[in-house]
Amino acid sequence: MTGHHGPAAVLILLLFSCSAPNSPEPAAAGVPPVPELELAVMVTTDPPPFDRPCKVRSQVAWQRRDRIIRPVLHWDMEESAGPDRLTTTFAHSGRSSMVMGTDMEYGPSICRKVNEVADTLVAVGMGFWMHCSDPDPLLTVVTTVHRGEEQLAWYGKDLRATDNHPGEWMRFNVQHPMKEIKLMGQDRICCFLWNRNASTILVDDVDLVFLGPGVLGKRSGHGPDLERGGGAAALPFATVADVTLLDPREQGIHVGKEAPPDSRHEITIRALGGMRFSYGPGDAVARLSSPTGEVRALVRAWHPTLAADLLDHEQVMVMDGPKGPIITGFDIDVDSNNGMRTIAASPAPRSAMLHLTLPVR
Amino acid sequence: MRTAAWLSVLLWSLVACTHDEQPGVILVEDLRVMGDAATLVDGVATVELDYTDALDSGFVIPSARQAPGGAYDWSFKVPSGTSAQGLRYKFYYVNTSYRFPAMGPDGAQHPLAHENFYGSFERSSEAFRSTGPIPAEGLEVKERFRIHGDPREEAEFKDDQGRSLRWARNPRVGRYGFLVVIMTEEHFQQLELPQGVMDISAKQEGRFIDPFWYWLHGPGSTDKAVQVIVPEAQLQVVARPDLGGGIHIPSTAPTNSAGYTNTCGNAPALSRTAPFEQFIHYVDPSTRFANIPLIADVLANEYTPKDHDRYKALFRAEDMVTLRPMTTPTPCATVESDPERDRIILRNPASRPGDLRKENVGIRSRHGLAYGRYRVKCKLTRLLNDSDMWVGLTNAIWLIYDGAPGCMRRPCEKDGYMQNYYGGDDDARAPRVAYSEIDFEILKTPAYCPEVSFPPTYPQPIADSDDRAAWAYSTSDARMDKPGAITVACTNWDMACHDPESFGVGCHPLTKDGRTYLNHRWSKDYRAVTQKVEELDAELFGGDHYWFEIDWRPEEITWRIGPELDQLRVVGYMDRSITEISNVQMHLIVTQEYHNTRWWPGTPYDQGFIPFPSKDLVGEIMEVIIE
Repeated sequence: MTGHHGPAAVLILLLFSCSAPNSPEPAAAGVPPVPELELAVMVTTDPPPFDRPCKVRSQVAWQRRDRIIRPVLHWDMEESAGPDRLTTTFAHSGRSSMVMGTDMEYGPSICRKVNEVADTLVAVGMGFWMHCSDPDPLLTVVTTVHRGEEQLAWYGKDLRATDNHPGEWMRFNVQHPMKEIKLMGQDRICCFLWNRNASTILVDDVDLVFLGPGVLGKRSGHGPDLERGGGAAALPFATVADVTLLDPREQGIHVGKEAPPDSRHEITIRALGGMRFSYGPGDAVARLSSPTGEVRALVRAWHPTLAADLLDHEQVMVMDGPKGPIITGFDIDVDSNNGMRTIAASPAPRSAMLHLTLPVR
Repeated sequence: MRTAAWLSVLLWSLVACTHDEQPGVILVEDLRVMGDAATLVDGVATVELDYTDALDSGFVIPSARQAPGGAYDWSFKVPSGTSAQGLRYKFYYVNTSYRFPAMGPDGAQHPLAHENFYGSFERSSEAFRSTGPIPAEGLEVKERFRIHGDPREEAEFKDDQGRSLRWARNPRVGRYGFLVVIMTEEHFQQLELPQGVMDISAKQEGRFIDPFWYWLHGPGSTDKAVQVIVPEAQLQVVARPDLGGGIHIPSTAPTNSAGYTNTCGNAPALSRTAPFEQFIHYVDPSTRFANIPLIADVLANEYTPKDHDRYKALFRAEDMVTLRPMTTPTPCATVESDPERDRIILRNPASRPGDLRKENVGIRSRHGLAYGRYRVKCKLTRLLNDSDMWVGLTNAIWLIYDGAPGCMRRPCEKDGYMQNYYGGDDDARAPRVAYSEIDFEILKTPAYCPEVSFPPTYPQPIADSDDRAAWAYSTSDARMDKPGAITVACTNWDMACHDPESFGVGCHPLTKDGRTYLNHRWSKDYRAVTQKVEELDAELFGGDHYWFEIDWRPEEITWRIGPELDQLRVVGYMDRSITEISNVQMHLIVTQEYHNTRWWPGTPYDQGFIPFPSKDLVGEIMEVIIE
């Protein structure tokens, strides 16, 4: 389910098993129960209650040479080492939320170095649910940029009274573009809520995202131009003519068991006249190549009955079958104590044999 | 039935004598307007615009097919002894549904009343007609009138040979009222009427005199020797373009005629009569994007948000294909006019291996009209599948300027309009431009207002196949709100004219009848202002049909939708206090089109990671009423 990329400088990864919501205070009506795995938190040195971001969303990372970039943080406000900042009076989800009381003009500040959160930082986004009875709480979401002791920039977005819905949970989203500053890796970005009216404000389900110009870690490139022509032709997708659903256990994939090592799979498909089928870590689709190595088509392992792509898993195994490739996909749970990789129960492993045909132009 | 109708005409003819009249002299009696030419219900005759020949000649009301001689009768009686030398009289008509008030707050003519659609005798310069001497026994004066385009025969609507291009200023739809002004010959000779009153085509101090102001509120209203009559008879004009009447292919379209049919093509008959043409989008080079080369039936659930997110994070950039949304290489292949069912069918064509297409499709009306309630009954393609994955299309019902000679927006007094649609922020400004557009655009995108909610906070995707959370947007709150919802965007392109007193940037409210509408404009030079509401895709496009109405009036625009005409609800409203509302003729366009999602910040799906369609995406237009 979750990958493991090693500890970051300011993060100590520990897994807490949070109990499911069981407060006598009801959560917001219609809120679906939160899966236990999503209740797992990390421990950070951020001030409470931001010291326990949710693991599933916050642990995602990209290794850029010798540094780990973690661009996403999410707090469900269910856990903190300083629980006095949490209240069970109301919650948007789960059983508790953060409370900014009349004693708190400035909320806890979450700070990160630029090189901890982005390769190229384009914008800082923050979104959260808030609940306040004050018709004009004068709430401002603030992002500041610091270089050493100097504050380089200050950005704020106010909650306008006309946008406020007193007594209701409402979403507050903000995005502060960082275009005007030439940021350096050691610059610090800090985000906090400024409670200018010293109102009582409840805050829940907080997202903080450090946005880059595109997908972090994705190589840029240009494919064929359909309009201008020239260059290589677009690679077609092979047609999945038929799918035979298989039991993943028959392929040696058992939930809870140690996962096989992840690797690139290159096999010869007898049913396709010796064409080569390849798929490896980081690929979105598989590739079909001629015996001489010429890539002929892309493969999306779409299963119409499951309405799912068998490659839509954290790890995939490929074997040759009598009609075509046998694809088995499964997700991985990583034990943060010992790094052991086991086959995750959710989403469930899936396996099928694909009968592929090459597209006819 | 016929007897009943005739009786109602007779009854109305009697009622018609009880018209509004200015206090003063009574010179004539028994004024009848359309008394024997139309079926009047509650004092109103209804006529549909006759599209025959209207492309060349403009609409004429009534046409020769609708009334003998192509004109309505009007008449009055002059009792004996009224005036030895006879009477002078003049007849006027005016569109009352879509006009500025004749009188401004200061009692003078409203500054924009000269834009009102009014006319008089066929020859615009003809002044007052004379009855000639009145016989001892009295006289019945019998006249005829018709409403036609460019009634003031204005210089800007003439061709290079001086001929009036009536179609460039067509009669408006909606209600027409009338005015008859009568005086004695003696009084007429004594009066020194302004030239702009004698001759409706003449300007005074640079603008036309609205006779309905002059005679009902201005100097003419106080002249006790003039009989001014406002007949109660009114005329209701409705346009119902025939959806089965064929689709013309304009000369600007590709020349491939392989798709031509009896009801679609450029045959002379279709060129002359078809009320619609295939709309060929102009697709600006700035709209290029890279797209995954996958072909899938999104509406059949062959693609999900998870697929979108995963491919966005992991699909190799060099395997993407670069393209612009396309237009048809084969006119008529993707649009069909069905005369049996009186409807038009649109098909965004399916792609095939080697022929990847995101092709826009649409139709455009061919007769320009200024103002009106544009009501479109249609079943356009569904936009979402069961997992809320968007097909990438924008269903649009919109109006665009018709480009007729002389059709320029009224001057933007402060600093002019942005000159070009695609001009960017540094575009020059011009006092007058033709470009006008009013839109319904329906797609999957978030609202920009209130500001507190925009932009949605999506995770930063990471190209890490080892960790599902690195690519899955499904953990985003922004993705999970309102399942099945699409956004109806209502937009007025005012070309950033700064004249409106409450011109605003960002989100700015407008309250009407106790309801607040949130308008959004990106910057002071942004050319359009938009409102958005979320609606259910299944309701708008999942049923048998749905109605969309753009109610374009001189001082306000209202957007309504609903399952039936009597169940429309307002989804957008703007007025002149926040946006300049165009006064130029427009065409109706209905399209299913692909946009680069960069146009729609915050959109949860990237057009480039939405597959090419494996099946035609079909929409049907079932009825169009403009009234």
